[in-house]
Amino acid sequence: MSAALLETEALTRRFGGLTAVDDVSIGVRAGQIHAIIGPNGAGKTTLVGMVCGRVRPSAGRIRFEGRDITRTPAWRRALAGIVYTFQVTSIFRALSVRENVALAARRRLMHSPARWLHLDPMALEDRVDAALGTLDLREQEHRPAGELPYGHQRLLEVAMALALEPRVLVLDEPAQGLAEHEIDTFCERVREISSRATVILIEHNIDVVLRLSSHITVMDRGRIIADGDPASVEADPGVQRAYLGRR
Amino acid sequence: MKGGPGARVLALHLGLIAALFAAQFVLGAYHHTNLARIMVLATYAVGYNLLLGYTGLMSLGHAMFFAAGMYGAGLSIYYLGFGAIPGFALGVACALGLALAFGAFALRTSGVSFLIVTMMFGQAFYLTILYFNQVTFGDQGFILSDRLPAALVDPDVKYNAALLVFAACFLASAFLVRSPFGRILVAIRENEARARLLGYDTYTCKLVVLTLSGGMSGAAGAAYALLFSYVGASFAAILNSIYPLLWTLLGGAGTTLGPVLGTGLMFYLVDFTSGWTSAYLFVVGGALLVLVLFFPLGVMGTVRAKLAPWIP
Repeated sequence: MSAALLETEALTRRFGGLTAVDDVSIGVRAGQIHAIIGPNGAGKTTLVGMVCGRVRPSAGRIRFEGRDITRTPAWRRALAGIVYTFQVTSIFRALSVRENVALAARRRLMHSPARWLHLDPMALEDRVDAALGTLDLREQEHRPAGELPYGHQRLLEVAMALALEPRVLVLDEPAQGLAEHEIDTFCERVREISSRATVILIEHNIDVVLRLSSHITVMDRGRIIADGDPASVEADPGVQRAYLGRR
Repeated sequence: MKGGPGARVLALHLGLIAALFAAQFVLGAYHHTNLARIMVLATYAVGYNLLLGYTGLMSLGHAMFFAAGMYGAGLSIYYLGFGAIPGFALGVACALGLALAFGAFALRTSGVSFLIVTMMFGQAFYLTILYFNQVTFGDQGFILSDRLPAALVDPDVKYNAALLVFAACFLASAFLVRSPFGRILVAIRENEARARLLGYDTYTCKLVVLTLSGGMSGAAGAAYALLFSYVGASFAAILNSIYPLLWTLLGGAGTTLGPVLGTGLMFYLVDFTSGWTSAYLFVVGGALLVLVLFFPLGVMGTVRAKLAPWIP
């Protein structure tokens, strides 16, 4: 196996008596769309929560580009390029759609103390326009983000993530709340994004997963039950039983 | 921001400074003195608003920063024979240092815990001043007038010195909240967890703004000691922590003009009602009740929401 961009090693998280993630080791290679699937409560969100620093692991290690980031604070990981879009939408509801994206875009421009006090507006506007344009949100840019329909709030999450110029983009159920016809466009977008960033995709819609991903990890009750390319995972009898069969 | 609103915002802020400068030539002696006092107290509210209005952190211990500035200036002038300007500088430095040290510790908490920690430390600071009453003269306080340059007795000097301190803090706060840093503060106020996952070190941002807020409060305290020549423990008491909260809420938290307006309104409300009843705090409380019920955004917050969305 070629060297992974992002690896977890025996990663474990316990909440009281419950082991949400149990001894999980995965390797995400650069340029892939790596899907993580599994029934509700399988530990997918907790796993990526540890990857991006929202959840502290009980045991195990995380490596990004060969460096141990297990104890690195979340904001530093975001700055290093590990960017998370929330499963339960977490946007700045009272601020405009544009300001939401601008907050993300500014982070990439604020690399010296002077930039904390003043930024070149043109450089910023261009980045914000680009991110909004990719997700077709330009027309709604002046609305307060909290007023957007739910599905579009999910798209705004993705636009914010893009403005941060991710190296690894974690999409946690991004297609939830989108209408059927919007899903096709969305899949196109994710494919475009994957030419610039490695994508970790958590998704319940199995058609989306099979269409997009080049690698699938299947989890059930905190453990990995299958891991491989889509064809082999689909054929795995354990997966059929635990997950796909329930469709 | 595009040129249009930027220019309007600048005009609005410089306009207020110019109006305050001009006011000294038309006001009678009574309002002249009042306005000088309001400007010093408004400086305190401006500092407080950076924390409450823009960052969403509510403190009930800001009197300790005000008092740090006041005692830093007052004690150094009284005991060490400092001049007015070195005394003022030392007062501001004391407040900055206290805010930095306090913030490094208190910002490990948030929300209600933060409120309680600020209140406890504020009280501890107040009691410390009382405890060392041989040095601080405790409740009675002390007068600085015979140790300050005679020029500071001149009402015009007082007024313009107050204006200078106020203008510096007011313009700094207006600049800050419109800067990229200010936008992060608003992001922290709206959703701190999200701001962190956008790559912002929210703890350090909060520490910086708390230090600046404490520094401005200290500048107000030091200016108060110098201009009104009195230093006393009552300025460290909890009531003096509640005042900037009320001024800010009244005028509009999270607006640059709000705290200034709130301080002025409250000052004259107290001034007016205390003229005919000793229970003036009762009237003030009633006014605040009306405010909270009908104008929860404060005066400038309501103006911004209804009339002029461009004001910062």
